[in-house]
Amino acid sequence: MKLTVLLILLGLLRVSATINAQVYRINLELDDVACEKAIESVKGQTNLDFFFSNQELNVNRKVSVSCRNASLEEALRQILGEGYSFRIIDNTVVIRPVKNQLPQPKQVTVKGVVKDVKGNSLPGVTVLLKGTALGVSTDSDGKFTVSFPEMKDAILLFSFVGMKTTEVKYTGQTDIKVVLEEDAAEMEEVVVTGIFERKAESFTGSVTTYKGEELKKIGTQNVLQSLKTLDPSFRITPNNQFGSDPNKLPDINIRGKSSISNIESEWGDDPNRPLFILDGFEVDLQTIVDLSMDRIASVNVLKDAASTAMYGSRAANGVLVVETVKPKPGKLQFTYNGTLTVDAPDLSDYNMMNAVEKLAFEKAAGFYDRQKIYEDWRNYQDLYNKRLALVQSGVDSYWLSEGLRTGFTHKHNIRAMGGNEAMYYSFGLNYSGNEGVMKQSGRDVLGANINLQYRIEKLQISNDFTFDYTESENAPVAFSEYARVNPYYRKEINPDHPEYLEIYSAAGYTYRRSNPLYNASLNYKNGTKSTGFRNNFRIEYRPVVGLRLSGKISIGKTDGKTEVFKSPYHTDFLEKVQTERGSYTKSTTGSTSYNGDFSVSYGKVFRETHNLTVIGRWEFKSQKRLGDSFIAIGFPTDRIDNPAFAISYPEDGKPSYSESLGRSMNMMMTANYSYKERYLIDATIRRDGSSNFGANKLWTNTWSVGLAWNIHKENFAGDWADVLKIRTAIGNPGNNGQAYDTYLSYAYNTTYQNVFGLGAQLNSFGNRDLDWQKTRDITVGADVVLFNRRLSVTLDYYTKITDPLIIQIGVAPSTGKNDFITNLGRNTIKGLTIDLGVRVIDNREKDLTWSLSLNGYHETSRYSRIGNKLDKFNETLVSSSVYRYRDGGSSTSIWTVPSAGIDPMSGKEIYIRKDGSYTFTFNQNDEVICGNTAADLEGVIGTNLYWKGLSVNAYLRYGFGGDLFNSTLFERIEKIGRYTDQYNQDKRAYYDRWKQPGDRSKFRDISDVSDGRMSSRYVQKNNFISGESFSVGYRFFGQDWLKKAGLSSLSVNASMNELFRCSTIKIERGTDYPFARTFSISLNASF
Amino acid sequence: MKRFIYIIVLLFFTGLISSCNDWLNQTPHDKIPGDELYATESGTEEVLNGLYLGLAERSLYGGELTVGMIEALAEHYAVPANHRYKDLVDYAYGTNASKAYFSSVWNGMYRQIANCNVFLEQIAVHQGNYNPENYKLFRGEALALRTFLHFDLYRLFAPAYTEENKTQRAIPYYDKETDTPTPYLTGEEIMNRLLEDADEAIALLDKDPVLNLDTLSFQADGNKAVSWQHRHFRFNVYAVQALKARMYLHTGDKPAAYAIASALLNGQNPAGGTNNFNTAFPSIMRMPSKYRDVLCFSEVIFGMHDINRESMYRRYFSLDLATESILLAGEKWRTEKYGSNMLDMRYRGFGEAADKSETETMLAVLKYQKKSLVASDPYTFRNELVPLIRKGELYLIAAEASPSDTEKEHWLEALVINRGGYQLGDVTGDLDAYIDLEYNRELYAEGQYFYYLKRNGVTSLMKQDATTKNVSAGYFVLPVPDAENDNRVD
Repeated sequence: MKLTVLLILLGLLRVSATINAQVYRINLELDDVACEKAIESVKGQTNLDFFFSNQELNVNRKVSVSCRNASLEEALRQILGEGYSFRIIDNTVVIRPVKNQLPQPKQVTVKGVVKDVKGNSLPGVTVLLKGTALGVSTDSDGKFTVSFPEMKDAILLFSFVGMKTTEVKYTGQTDIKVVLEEDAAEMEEVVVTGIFERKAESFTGSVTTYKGEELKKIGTQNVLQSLKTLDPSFRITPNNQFGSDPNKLPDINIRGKSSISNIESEWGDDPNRPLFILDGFEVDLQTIVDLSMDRIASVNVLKDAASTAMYGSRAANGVLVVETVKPKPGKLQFTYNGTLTVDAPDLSDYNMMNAVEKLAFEKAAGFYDRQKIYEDWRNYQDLYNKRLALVQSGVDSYWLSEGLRTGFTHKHNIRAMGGNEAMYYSFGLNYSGNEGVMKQSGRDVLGANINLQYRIEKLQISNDFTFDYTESENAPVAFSEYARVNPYYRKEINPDHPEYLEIYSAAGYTYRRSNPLYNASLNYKNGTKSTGFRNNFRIEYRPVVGLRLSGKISIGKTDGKTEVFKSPYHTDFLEKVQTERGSYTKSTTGSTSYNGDFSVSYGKVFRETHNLTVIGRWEFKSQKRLGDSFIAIGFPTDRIDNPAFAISYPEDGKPSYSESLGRSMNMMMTANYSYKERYLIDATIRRDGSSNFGANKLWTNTWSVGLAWNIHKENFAGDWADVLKIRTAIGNPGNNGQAYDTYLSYAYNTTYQNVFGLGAQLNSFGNRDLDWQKTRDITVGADVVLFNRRLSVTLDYYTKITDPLIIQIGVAPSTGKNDFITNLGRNTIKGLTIDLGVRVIDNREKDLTWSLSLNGYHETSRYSRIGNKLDKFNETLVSSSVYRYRDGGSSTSIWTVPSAGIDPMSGKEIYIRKDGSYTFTFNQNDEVICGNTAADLEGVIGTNLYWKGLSVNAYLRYGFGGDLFNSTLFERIEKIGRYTDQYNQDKRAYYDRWKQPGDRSKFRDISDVSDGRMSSRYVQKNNFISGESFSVGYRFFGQDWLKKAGLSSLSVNASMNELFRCSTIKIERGTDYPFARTFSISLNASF
Repeated sequence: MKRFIYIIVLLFFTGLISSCNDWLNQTPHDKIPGDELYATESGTEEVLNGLYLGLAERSLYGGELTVGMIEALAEHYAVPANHRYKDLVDYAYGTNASKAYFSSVWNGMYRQIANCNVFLEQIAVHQGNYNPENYKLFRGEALALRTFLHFDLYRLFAPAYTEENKTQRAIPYYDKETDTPTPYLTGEEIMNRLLEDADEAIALLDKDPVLNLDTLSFQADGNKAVSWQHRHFRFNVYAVQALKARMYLHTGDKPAAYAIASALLNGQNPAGGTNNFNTAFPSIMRMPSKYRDVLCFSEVIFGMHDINRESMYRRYFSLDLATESILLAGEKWRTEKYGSNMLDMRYRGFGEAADKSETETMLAVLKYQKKSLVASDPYTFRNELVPLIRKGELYLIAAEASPSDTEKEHWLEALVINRGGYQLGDVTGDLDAYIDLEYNRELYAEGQYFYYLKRNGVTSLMKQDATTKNVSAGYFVLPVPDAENDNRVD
């Protein structure tokens, strides 16, 4: 109980002469009234002020007074009774109790100094006598002097932001040395959802928080690449086609893919992408990818229904909340972060034939001996001899390295911040010049941001302005074009026929082999420039303790321009007439959006046991997107790459234009209650409206409930448990990322016209009843931290049932449509994630820690209730893919016809029918699930060591139990076709294919030129381990040279990503754009 | 003051919440919401006109079903080995090239039917927005169009209407917009439905402006907008009657076909009332001689107006085209079918195109070639017209359905006289064979001869080099696309 003294000052301002107390004559006749009331009456007759403490004086005591023409002294004696005295000072009567006058306690004075574990003195530490308000702060040298009355069991409390609060018992010592430890846990304990911040301990949701520094230690590419290493729920599907292309967006999901992505959206949105919230506002994936990692303060991954519920209809895929560094008041401070990255193409998975092998392979495949007519056969023999002469003269070109380079990327980020308590600011500039590993490809990002904060008493205003300029450039020739060139061609542009490496005539036809070096040498343009800005304004008002009103509004605009110029000399145009050679395509995109919200939150602690927080929020959002494009063709020369030199538009080519407007609105209410911080409950309800859905289904409700039990807060829990929490959450978040044609709409026919003027034709039939896709999400989890934070475990088991899905299904064309979008089918995802950390060595004295970590996930998913409705769509997948949308399968199931291998007698493939019998004929109807690309367990093993400022980290990704359709086997070993000499192939095509009866081979007859079918023979186990991240960092502090250089801190970090990969499957990775190994050094300095 | 602020805030939120649905109800600006169009009569006219413009697709009546595929199948063009129609005329209906033609016709026709059905459903909902007379015209025209489309689908994809075939599965029939395919009906069921639909359309079009107006030029009629003029570009009531005659003849109901065709040609409206058929669609011989060309434009009862008809010519007939896509006639065939009467205006529909073939003389098809017209020409739309139902066909229907040879001869003579160069005694001999000749002459490159052949069970066709091609009945039944049968349960 605090010593709160409530002072009542009555009749504050009054002018009166100083008069002796005897002057007053008082008449009072009161019976059984409150003491206070009686004093009031005296005050009324004397015009005196009274001053007393209602702790010392019982103002409610009932008194009876009777006096006539009495003195003030007498009247007060009657009112107050014995035990009180009074004095008149000026015009104020001060009432005091007469007895209980304690002797003045003896004062003691303690001096001391506070330092951190590294020995730096800590200024500004609060030193408080426990149980009192008596306290001081440490000075700039960390020293303090505190005096207090001598008492039994006096305890001094030392507290400082980011440090563990330390208690020191006073036992008569005069000089105290205190060392404060950094409290890493405390910093982590706040959960940021983008809508509210809350202590992690009192939240029931499944959330993990990462600091910007942690993420930067993993790698410097972008925040998402680092997150995938740290969080087993956050996954990036490797893009085998585009590898490390800096201009391709990663394919991301949190806890699995719940939607079927067969809907080709006009704007190409991926329905399985999580929601991205940057500083409280929704942004797109590209913004997050381009966000400078040096600006990131923290990233929160919201995974389950309780944590994402505030985002209702957008939350089914999880939410990624990114907070940037906010300015802090203080003197002007500069920070600089610089990163230099070197990317080297990783070609270790390529296994191409050399010139000798390739020619031998062509011969063995019968390419030169296939002709029946002697003359033709002679032609081919001549060709063989010509090539043989080349090979024998030593030509063996390594084409893989063509078009590639070592990419150098440098990133800079500079920030200035400062200001006083009322108004503070930060200005930042960042630049990233990213060179891709393919020549001419790259991505440059330039950004600027200004953040202003104004705070006065109960009001806080902040404004965030961000500007970005991005320039991207793509490589002129896909990597696959180089990779497939025959090694027996010279690496040169032949002056006789620059377009071709070789021209030969045989059997009445002329064959030409294009030279990728030639196409790459032409003038070319394929890039995008985009500019965007975003302004976020926020106002917050706290009229009374616990109540907060806040409003936000954000305006953003992005404009992009893509230009593709192809030279008229490009081999693509050789067949065209002169006036149609060369092309120029220009497309522009624009997006304007605004959104805002208004929220009220109230939090109160009742009787120190019941903690309640309630938040109500209303939000609106609108985004308009525009796109247009045109093509111009026919360029007389390739020197000039702008449309002014084009001859015309292509026949029937008309400019295109599209526009979409998406609007949504929601109202949300969330409440959190905890009892003694032991039993927690979170409940959220949200109502969403969106223009994406049918007119009859504009609105929907989502809800969630989360429960948790903090066992470590219970009395029976021992000291060994730092955190022991079990939690569960259930909810029905939705997935509303796309606009569907839900309205009956028309478009004017501009191709045909008649005398009657305009004619409108059906554009979309509209499905007014299209309903929202929602996912029932149930999570059970536990957070455990034991033995003084030596061991930590986080476990989550989740089930996500999406029912019904939104699917585009094929329909008989006699209905007038090819397909329509409807609610159908069900997808069930079940998964387990684990995150384990052990601090093996934790030696504070030597400042040494060594810890190990392991995370992993296991996940299964299953489609049901689709029936045959997607058969038509599956049909379109048959020739190109092994994925199908069928009941019992999943997005990762490999559907194909089982293979019994290659018949050693004939070299043909034997397929297994559904009834188990063998056949040489491939029948699509025999397709079954032959594998699953999802690993049984995939995750990351890590270790980190910290010793006096030096930190070493290593993370290895492992995965086992998954399968993969080995497209290299299919395409580069068997699906070669009759023109065996067209492309270079995998070495195994020559060495491992069946050659003669009796050969036990995994691959078909070498002379079989048919395309082959995607049978289970190509499905292989994909167990792998890869060197995802290695890093070494050192943080300088306290050194004299730092101060001389005017630096307050300096740290250096070096990291390597994707260093190696060992796998049970040998497959070419990055077919159009190779993967890269990354090495980077970064420097952070503050002045 | 505080209370005032509360009230303002409260009003603000009440206003916001109540206008939420309006705010959310948004459609992109590059499309027009249906509700917006149907809200006004002029918007609805735009949708109706869209139904006509939809016919002009190259895969439908702007190409394959009038001058392209359908005429090639009827052996009206010389199709060399590398021609894109080669598989079609060789009856190789299973190849991907052939299937692509069939499915684009099937899908396109049914898409137009769906357009009609949505239109019919929407105008019923928005009926209050229209003048009741115009509502009848809207509904009548759309019904007629839907009938026309179904009938051609039936004639293309179902076996010919015979006693044994009429109970066979034919095509699906749609009278409403749906996501679920409707079952296949038999030929008999289809034809009954279509005749009912035609009758309903005729009843709705009982005040069709064509009954009072000349179709050939705009007339000052204060009450009628452009939409209700130029009725020969719209499904007018006479066109529905003619369609009905066409349908009756197809089902073998010759008396019914004869009744309608003869009534019309005699100037009468078969539904009774006005008798202005021959003034609405005057014989070409009544027009000044400079208008008398192969198109006989004044006799078109229902045609498409496509101001870009020139592109159709360039795509199918232009002499610039490569051999794999140009459509040419053979001189030998013309000699057989047209004789040598150069005075017959239809004879002038061909020109010499010597360099396209070395072995025999090939003829360019000039029917749709653009004529150079002066600006003051009142009938410039001749260059933009694609006939779909013409009076000439009515003469042939009447002749074919005639109860006796006398009438047959009468109607044939009446037709030939109207084409100039008639010499007494031309119409003699085998009158049925003469009808065949007239189909070739009158309806060349208009897509009707194929149905004539199918209806009459013809098994031998004359090719452009005057040789004969024998075909089976299956040749006249286009296969339904796989996508249709793969996506339905029946």
